[in-house]
Amino acid sequence: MSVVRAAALLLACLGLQVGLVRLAPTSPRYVDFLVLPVLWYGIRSSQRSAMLVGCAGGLLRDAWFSAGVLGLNGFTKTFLGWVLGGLGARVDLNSGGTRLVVAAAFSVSQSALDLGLRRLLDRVTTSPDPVEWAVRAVTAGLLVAVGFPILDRVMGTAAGRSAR
Amino acid sequence: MTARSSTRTNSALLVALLAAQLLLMTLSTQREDGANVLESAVLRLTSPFARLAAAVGGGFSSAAESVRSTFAAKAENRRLERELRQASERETALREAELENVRLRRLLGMRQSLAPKSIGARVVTASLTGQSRMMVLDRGTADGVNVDCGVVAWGGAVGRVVYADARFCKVVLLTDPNSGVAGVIQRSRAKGIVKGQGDGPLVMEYVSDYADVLLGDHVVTSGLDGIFPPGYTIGRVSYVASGEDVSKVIRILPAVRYRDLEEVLVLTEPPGEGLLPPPAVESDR
Repeated sequence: MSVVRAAALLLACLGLQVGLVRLAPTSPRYVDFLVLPVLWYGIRSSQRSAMLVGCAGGLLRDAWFSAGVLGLNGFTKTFLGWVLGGLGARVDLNSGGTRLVVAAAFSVSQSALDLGLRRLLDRVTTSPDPVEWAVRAVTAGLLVAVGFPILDRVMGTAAGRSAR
Repeated sequence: MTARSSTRTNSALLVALLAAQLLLMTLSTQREDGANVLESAVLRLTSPFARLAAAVGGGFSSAAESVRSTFAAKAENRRLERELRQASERETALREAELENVRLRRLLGMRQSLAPKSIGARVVTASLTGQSRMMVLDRGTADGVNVDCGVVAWGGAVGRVVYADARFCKVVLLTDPNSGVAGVIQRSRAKGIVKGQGDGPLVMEYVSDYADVLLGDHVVTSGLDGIFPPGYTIGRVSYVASGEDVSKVIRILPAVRYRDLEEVLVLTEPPGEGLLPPPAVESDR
């Protein structure tokens, strides 16, 4: 994993997220651009890269879009990066349809983990909104559908799956 | 052999990363310095990108508004299409400035009448999800903003500062599920605690079942929380009923439209009214 490329990708996703908030203030509810780097590295690269990118991406999301609990998003993205990276090493997740399903599953798992952790931390939570979760899953799938071809061009084959 | 050692290394890395995040969560919920330092570092390192993105996003927003205006003008008068397009570009910039002027004038008026010690701030970014409702402002400790400062806007109370860096601060909105503010029914002076519910309306708790509360009553800050001075509008009662215990069930529609906020006022000095004096230390003798 090239650290510079990963950092650039994370910053680009942060920029997209902040920019989108100015256009649509409620967008962070349905769109999380910072899942894209984790999915990219989880599917195309190594488990270790997915974990580290998940950790950094989650920290960015926590710092800019969350108040009160730092590390919550980092925890979920690191864990899911590990799961995805491990799965990607055993099963081919690289076909178009599979990627969409993986992205949607990643999004739903992230929402569930986030809610569970908040409750474990004794934070006051609202009951989960299935529509919100579904829309978030669909947008994650769309992000992958649109984002992966772009990343293929920008990142090239440098992030090819390694044995690690 | 290599694959096994790689799996082992990855598992160890996972445990280390998760443990670090758990530690961060614990520190941040206890408001310890370690988490603040890291959060501050992340915000500072990435703030140029975030500011740039916010500016670009704002530009696109203005452009979208401009396109809308141009199309409306086209429909009215096709003959003046070219002139209108040029005019609309200039107009967009002027309109933005004018709207900002109106908002700032309103804020200034409120500042003069209600909040003498306050500072204006712009919203850099916000998150309005069901579980977390917050915003990041472009003012920090260098401007006199500290944790637990109240934040208000045209319309009423907005939220409370929970984190302050030198240049940024994070505000938890009144609608956040973990938020609470001391409120009072303006007409009958019945006091209670107003809590957020994410997407739903605010709820007012600990109001006696015998209290006089009617639909449409205005709810304002009571000042008892030591964060907001008394008198800032919170919202209007949209539902009232007798509860199962001795408290009424009251729901409130917030007065402030959070998604439209662009500028706010941060109250840099907490109100002293309503706070109990610190307990006197008893002498051994």
